[in-house]
Amino acid sequence: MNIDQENERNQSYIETLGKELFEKIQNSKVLVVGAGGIGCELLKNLVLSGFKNIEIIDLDTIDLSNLNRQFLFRKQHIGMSKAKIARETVLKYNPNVNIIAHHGDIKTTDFGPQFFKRFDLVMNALDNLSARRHVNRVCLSVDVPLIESGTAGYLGQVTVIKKGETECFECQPTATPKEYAVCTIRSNPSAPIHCIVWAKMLFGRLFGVADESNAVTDMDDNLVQGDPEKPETVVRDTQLATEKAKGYKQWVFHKIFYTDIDKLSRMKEMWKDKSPPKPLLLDSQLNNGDNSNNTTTTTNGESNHQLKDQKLWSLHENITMFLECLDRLKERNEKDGSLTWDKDDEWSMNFVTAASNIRSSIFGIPMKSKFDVKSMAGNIIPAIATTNAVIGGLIVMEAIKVIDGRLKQCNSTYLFKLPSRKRLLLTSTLDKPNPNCYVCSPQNISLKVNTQKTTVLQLVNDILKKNLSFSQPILTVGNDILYEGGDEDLSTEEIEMRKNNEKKVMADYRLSDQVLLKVEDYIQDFQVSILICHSDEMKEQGSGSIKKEEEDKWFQIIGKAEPSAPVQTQPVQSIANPSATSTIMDTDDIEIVEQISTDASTYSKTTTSVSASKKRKEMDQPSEDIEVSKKLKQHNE
Amino acid sequence: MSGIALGRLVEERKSWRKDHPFAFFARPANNADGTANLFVWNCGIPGKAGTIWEGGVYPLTIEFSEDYPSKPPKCRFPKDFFHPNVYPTGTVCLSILNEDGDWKPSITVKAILLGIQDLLDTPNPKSPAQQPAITLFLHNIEDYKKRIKQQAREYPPPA
Repeated sequence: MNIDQENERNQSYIETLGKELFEKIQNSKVLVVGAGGIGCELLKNLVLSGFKNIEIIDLDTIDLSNLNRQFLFRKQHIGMSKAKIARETVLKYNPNVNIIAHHGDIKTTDFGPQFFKRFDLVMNALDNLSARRHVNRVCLSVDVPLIESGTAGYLGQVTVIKKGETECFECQPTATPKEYAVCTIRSNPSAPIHCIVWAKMLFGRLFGVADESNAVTDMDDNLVQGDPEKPETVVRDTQLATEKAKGYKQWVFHKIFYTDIDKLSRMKEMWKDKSPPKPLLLDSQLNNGDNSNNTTTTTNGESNHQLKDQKLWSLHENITMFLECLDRLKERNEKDGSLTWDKDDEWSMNFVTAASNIRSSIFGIPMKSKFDVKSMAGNIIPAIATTNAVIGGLIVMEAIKVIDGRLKQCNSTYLFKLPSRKRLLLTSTLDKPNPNCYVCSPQNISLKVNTQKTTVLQLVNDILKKNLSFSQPILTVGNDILYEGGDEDLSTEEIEMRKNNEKKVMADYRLSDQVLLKVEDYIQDFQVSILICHSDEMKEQGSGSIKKEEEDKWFQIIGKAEPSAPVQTQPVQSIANPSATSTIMDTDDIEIVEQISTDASTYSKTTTSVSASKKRKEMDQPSEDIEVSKKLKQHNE
Repeated sequence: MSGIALGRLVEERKSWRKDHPFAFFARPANNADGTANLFVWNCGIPGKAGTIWEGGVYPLTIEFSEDYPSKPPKCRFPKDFFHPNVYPTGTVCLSILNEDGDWKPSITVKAILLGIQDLLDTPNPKSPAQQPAITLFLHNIEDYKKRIKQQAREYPPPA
């Protein structure tokens, strides 16, 4: 593209946005995290709307299944870095842009706070919770604005996160994928998903790394009834040994579809209200052939119109497939060591489809096609190119407002499947930070101290208690407690250990440079986050005279927060929407928001301020619950 | 590092220290360097007086995840613990510990431990988790009682 074309393109932007704003956009430095579905759309939009300095990061490589929507990639790019190919492709759209592509993991220390500091704005185009949380935290720590986005099928969302001004990604709990109770999976499945989860666990048990908590089956146990210590009550499945002698696949099949099921079906109490599972014998199943257990006819004309993976296999087909998978995976396991289950691996997928269907048939649960099993087992959310495109566009609109310093005009925008009052897009103003949020709470201070000369006891007594007015401080770093103040309910050993820890030098007890220490109090309702900054220049305590001024020199607190200081509550609403409590512009739409948020469990953050704050309260405050005690006697069915 | 889970666990620890039922204990597991892991708690549940469980204090490990308290923690007795509703791995099968069941984020560590104490003497034959205990419980209650009393002696209260 020549300069004239470039100028012509820019001219329309300058007319729309104004020269000043357009220059701000051109001078800004932005980071795009993720070059997948949203990332491709976003990167294309950015290079076509005047952004000149872009860095993009993605740890992934291009896969065949990406190509239907990640339009910057072509077939010949399969296996290459997403970030690098995305850069190459968009540079053809607009060569006058500086793009740096990183093929790496944003969560590694290579991309720490120093890396993030370089940008005026970070835009997330991620697909997982842990990376979202991470970027959120780093952006907060260096105070760089973040635009967070997500799509799930027809649903999409864009929001802006700015330290101290808006809710951060973790101010409200996020919905996470469901976990199933071990009882349901192991003994009492009632839906196809229970058998699918079981089949994935079985895969891990047979071919994966040994895992004590994998409760799926004990391969050598042939007990079907009775107490092992009372030989006369014991009934054992003697055929297990016979099957084991025949070979690996006969043994596995017999154990999990006969011995284990036989044992379960003998637990009469469990099957009072429903029919017990029916154990399967491999030989009789193979002899039966297709005659008795057909669920589909593969020869009729209709099946030609169906894709292979969408066809339902008969029980016999499932059994044949299961045996073949055992052979192939066993061989691979012996050659390559432990296997990890992967939905895109053909034989792993066949294994889970066949194993889950056989189990379903035993428990009278409907079987599923490989296609359906794959979407359930792999937690696949259908990705829709149009949704990504809409969200990619909305991100740029918010980005322009952020670059222009108009944070107050930024919105959360939700894209819905069906129009509500003729609108598919719903906007709401940004919520204020949750003052109790452990991630973005503004009570952040820095402590400059010589971590190699200062002991934990000095930190606790002289800095936390005397200077910061803690009474009985509780110190945590990451997921660990370093120090618990107060003696109540501590054993003599615990107090002994605490005395030991008190003698340690900070640097030798996790409290080294750049560590974030959280301090709470056993008595007071006060917490503070302290960033430890090591300094060799700081003196050892008590190395000079005991004058007041001298004493203060061995540590320095920057940005000291006062206990009980009120959290800033500056309203972020515009004058047009003065209501401080309701942040949803169109109150009639609140119900829609809630309805959709419960629909889509994987949809990142769609709770309204009302429901979210209610939930938050429940999460924060452990409370005795009368209802709980009533339910204690009810157990998992 | 966790946001909501960590904050809640600090609160749980504080409220447990301030008030907990007699003869129970619960504390974050010690790490080698003198710190303690807030996401793994070592607990002890005393058998109720007047039941066959009396005299024992049964060790239980509670493991919390980053998604706590949206999701319930996992509770485990030692491997092969003898109880109809405890899996051979030690995992406790109880409705308040089931995300699909009666778990609610407001349920405290104290409520969990009291709930499991309750379960000890009132097993639920409708959701058996291990063969030996359920068989004896249903078919030979005298031997079951003997076995439980023997187990109580194996877990004396900590000195």
